[in-house]
Amino acid sequence: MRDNPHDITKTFMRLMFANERRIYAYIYVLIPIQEEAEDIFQETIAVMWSKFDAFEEGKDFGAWGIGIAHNIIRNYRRKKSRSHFYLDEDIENLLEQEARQSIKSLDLRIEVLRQCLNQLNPLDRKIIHLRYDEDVSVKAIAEKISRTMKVIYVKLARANDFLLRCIRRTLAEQGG
Amino acid sequence: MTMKDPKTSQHFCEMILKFRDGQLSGEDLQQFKVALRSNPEARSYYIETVLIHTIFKGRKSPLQQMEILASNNTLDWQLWDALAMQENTAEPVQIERIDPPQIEMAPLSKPVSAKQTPSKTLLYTMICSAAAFLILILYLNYSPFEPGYQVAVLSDSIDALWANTDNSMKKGTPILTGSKPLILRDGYAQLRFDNQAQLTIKGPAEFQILDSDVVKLNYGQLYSVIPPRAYGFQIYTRESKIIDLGTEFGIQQNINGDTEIHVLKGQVVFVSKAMGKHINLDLAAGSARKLIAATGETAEIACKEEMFVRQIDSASRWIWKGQPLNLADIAGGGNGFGTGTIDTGFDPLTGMPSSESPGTRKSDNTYQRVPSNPLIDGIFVPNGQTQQIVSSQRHVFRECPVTSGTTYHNLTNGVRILSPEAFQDSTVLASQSAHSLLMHANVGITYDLQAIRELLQGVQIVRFQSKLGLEDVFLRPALSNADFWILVDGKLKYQKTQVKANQLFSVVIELSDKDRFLTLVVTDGKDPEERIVDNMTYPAIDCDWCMFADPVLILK
Repeated sequence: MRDNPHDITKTFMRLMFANERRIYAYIYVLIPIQEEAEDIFQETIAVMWSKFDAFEEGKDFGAWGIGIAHNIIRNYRRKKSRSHFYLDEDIENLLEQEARQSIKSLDLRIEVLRQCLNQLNPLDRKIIHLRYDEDVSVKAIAEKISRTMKVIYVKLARANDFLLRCIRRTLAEQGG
Repeated sequence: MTMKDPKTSQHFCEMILKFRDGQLSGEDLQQFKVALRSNPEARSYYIETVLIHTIFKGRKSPLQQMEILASNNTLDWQLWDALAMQENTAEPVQIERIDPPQIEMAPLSKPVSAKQTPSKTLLYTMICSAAAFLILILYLNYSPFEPGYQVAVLSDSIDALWANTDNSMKKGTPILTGSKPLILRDGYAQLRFDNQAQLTIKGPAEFQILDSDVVKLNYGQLYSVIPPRAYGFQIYTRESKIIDLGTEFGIQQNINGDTEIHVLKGQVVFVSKAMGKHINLDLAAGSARKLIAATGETAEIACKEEMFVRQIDSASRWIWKGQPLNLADIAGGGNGFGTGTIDTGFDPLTGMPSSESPGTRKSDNTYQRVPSNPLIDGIFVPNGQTQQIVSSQRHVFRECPVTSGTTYHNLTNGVRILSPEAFQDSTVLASQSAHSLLMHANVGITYDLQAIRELLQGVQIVRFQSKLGLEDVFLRPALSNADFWILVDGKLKYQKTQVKANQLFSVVIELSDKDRFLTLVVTDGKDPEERIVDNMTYPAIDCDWCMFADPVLILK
């Protein structure tokens, strides 16, 4: 099956579609800057493709990708000087282990998040949309509606907290 | 700290959001780190918060599929008004049922559909192979395009002369898919797609919007900035297709069918079937190709970084092709690209524009705002007697030396000829002309980098570079002696002291997205206030004709 180049491509694509969000989530937990997370994600995909011959069919493709991303992030950190943008290495190590576990339930969370968004006030939903879907900065939102950045952060934090609690509650009810 | 208490968790969530925006510092940052280091609950909360954001970042964000958000129009005034009116501290309200959207108008916005998937397919297809190329060709050839849906807006234009739109093309005009070509006879136009892809088109050009991620360029010049979420964006030309992988690239399409593609960032796939020759090339950043339509052959050509207009801003009439932004030009009231007036600048005592040539004046070290120029935050005469404020955010120049507190002339935009022998740290063979910021000691100026970023949206300021030194003077060159200082957000990044007449040094300061203010300062070299030459007394600042020659911000 894997000998035919066309099949190899299709298999890789199928596995990647199913796992890309997990891999990206792992990177994004550890790399707070979106542009850098995206660069690392792209590099991870390229390395995964170049090493796909070594991937054993039937194994966890997402975990394999996360392992590759882990190495790329480690190399990346060596090159970058640390600033207030990054967490200390010991904290990152703690997060890294726990993120691997949490990410396993990511697909479940997507569906639950959709339900929880429906329970959110439409304006809070829109402000979340502006910030995270459209990448409008907090400063820009604040300026647009003549509020301080602090007010926008409070608003976003409340909406985030609501969603997070809703997801936890729903997953618990579902036995997840 | 327990996350069970909503007040605690909301406060912690606020810290997470600020941290990830680079807005958390000092004690708050330390508290945040302590919580993450010592509290497993805090770590779980952090991870789960980021997971939520990750879900939104995906191309199938659940938000995008909700009816209330069908429009991507972030400038919907009704919405902004509603947000502004909402109680600042209102709790998120759990509602019984989903009300139909009240605040959004319902434009002809294409519903998010399974159409997203092929774009994603393209991403990996591109990364991969010739085998996938077959799939791609099938997709490209048989994918139907639906006309009449809004997929983009005209985000800006400068001197745009449209051939077939009866003057209706204004900033914010919705752009619909359709088979009718848009003809830009002259000027510049910028389109922003719902997926955040941005195309800048230079007239004369003719193009068609075929779909939310497919544009056909019949002729003309186009530059595209494709963010990761719009992977798979495609530009068709008469004989070829260019498929993006999260990139920046420019296309020059000639009427005779020849195509040039220049890739500045990332990678694209270039596909052509001209003259029956099947070409499938991966083009990486820094590479360029020309397709000769008459033969179907392609040739490698030099990638020209400044060939395409990449960004425009009608308010300031910025037309950016990748060239550096000159800070002297800005001081002359220009846009940084050469529109400033020579021999004009600012009076450091008032912050007002001036083309006068005042003599020696004493001043306190008040930080004067420059209301007439949003790109210049302020200007000052340093004296080192009291704390020297160097920004509107009250950053302090801690290393500021004690000076005479006097200045001469105004801070001015000028042109100077630099002689080869003046260069102290590089070899220059011939005299060269330099667009220069002339700053007779003692004076300082602070530029607002964030204001520049906001004007040139999507553009990154990566470094400041300049030559600096003292002009060659005919009178009393022996008295020329000054110190140069460069600060970023009040932090000293560079200093060169005891610089003499006709000496030039090179400086490069790397800048990050978080850097807000760039301050350039010249002081009198701690010379005594009374210097006697030929029985005449001269002040500390005498002949301190300092300059920053070609002071530029390098943009990416």
